[in-house]
Formats: sequence, structure tokens, C-alpha cells
Amino acid sequence: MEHEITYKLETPIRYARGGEPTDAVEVVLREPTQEHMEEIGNVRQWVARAIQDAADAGSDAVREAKEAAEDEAAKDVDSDSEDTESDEEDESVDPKMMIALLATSTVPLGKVYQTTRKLLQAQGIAFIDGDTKITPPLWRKFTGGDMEAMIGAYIAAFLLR
Amino acid sequence: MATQLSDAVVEVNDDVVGIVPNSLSFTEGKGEQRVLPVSEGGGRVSQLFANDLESNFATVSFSVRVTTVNIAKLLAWKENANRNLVTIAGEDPDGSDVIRTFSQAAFTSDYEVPIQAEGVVDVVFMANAPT
Repeated sequence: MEHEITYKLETPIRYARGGEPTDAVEVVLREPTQEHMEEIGNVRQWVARAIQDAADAGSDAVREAKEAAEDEAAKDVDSDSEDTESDEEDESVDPKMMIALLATSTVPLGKVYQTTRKLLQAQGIAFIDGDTKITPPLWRKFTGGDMEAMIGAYIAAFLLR
Repeated sequence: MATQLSDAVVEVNDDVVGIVPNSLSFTEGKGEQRVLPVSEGGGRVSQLFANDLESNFATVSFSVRVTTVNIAKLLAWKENANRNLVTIAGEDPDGSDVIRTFSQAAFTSDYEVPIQAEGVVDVVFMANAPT
């Protein structure tokens, strides 16, 4: 399983780096820790409910999400294998698809956003350009689109199974 | 009717700093200039304008109260040498604003931390002229 993912910002934001204003192009997101088990549990349950809702409705999105979840649970833990890496790329759920799945279900999407954002803002999870901690003023600079996409990417990478 | 600007957000390295009210000031980094007379004879004197580049650095000054969080911030700014970025943003009730960004800001003084009931630390950053 991946321990971190990199999200490329659609709208770069300005931040301080080495005493100069610099444009941030990507955010590194690390897997959640045990510090937020309640949030992890809530989001996993909402995702499971969304998948079930879509299955009941016969949606194609659920097939992709279920297959990705099953493959995540069953795949080889040897992360050095190139075959495994290419398999990871093929089987990951598209973040936009994840958001669409949640949005078309009975799950309260606003609460999913709020809870996942809390996870992202926890200590040691999100870093601009890989190494700069994201302060509250920086969080406020992200656009809604980027925030939504980051949430989708995070759920797809770490909270699907 | 214009309103005195007495309130502004101060951010150092993208972190909002709570400051003592009425303690914030800055310079634009334009330095000092001199107007020197040049005699051209016959009573004619013309002007020579001189820019003292030694003073062409901006400063940002404010005071912070002594809390554990602020003590940690002061130390971090110091350890960053001249790799701090200071931003000031103030807006009046009519919506006109003043925003200044000071790059390569250095907290140069050997500051003292008073462990007192109303202790404050005076902070002065020297930086590049703001943009």
C-alpha cells in the first residue's frame, strides 16, 4: 500500500520558502495515523455506504470502486516489484469518480469533506512541495476545486478499503 | 471620510502572528537621500541628488506578548537567519488596502524575553524593500 501520494495543484498558491514568495505546485499527502481513528472510521463507513447505494442503483462507478477495494486488500505487499507498481496505477480509483460516487449517494457529502479535511490538516499529513508544513493561512489559499480534488484523492488512496 | 489605519494582519512565514495593538510599523526600504549643492560659479548652484544605498533596507517592527508559542516563534525566526518572509495586510472600512511583502527578512536583534506579567518582546525584521 502506498504511504504517501502527490497531488498536483490546479491553481498554484504562493507561500514562503527560504524567505522568498514561491508558487507551490504540489502537495504531498501521507497516510493517516492512529491519532484520528474516529475520522478514519467515519469516512470509511460513508464510502462503504456510497458504494452500496451505487450497487443498489446498478451504477458502473461501484464496480470500479469495489474492484479497486478488493484488489487493494488482496495485492502483494512487495512494493519493490514494478509489476505491482503498474498494477497500483491501473487499479486506483479516480479522485473525481470518488467524489461523484459520494455525491450521488445518501452520504452527507459536506460531512465527508469536513471530516477528511480535518484529517488532511492533522499534524504530519500534508506538506507543500513535500516538505513545508501547511499553516492555517495557507490552507485558506487553496481553491475549492483543489480542496475537493485533494479530498477525493486522499479517500481513494487511503480510505477506500 | 478617511479612516486611520490602525489594524493589520502580520504573517511571518505564512503564520499569523498576534501582536501587541498599536505596535506595528514598517519602512518602505527607500532609504535616505541627500540633496547636495553644486556650485557652478557665478552664484549658480545646482542640485545633486544622492541616494544612500546603505540604508536601502526595509524594516518591520512590532511587539509580541510572552507566551510559549511566541517564544518558539521568535527562536524559529532567529534560526531562519535571513530566510523569513513577512507580510503585512491592512484594510480600512472603505475597502482600500495596504499589502506589503518583505522577503529575506532577518530578525537581527539579540532579543530579551521578559518573564513578567505584562512582558513583551520587541521584534524588528530587516528585509528587502517590499513588493
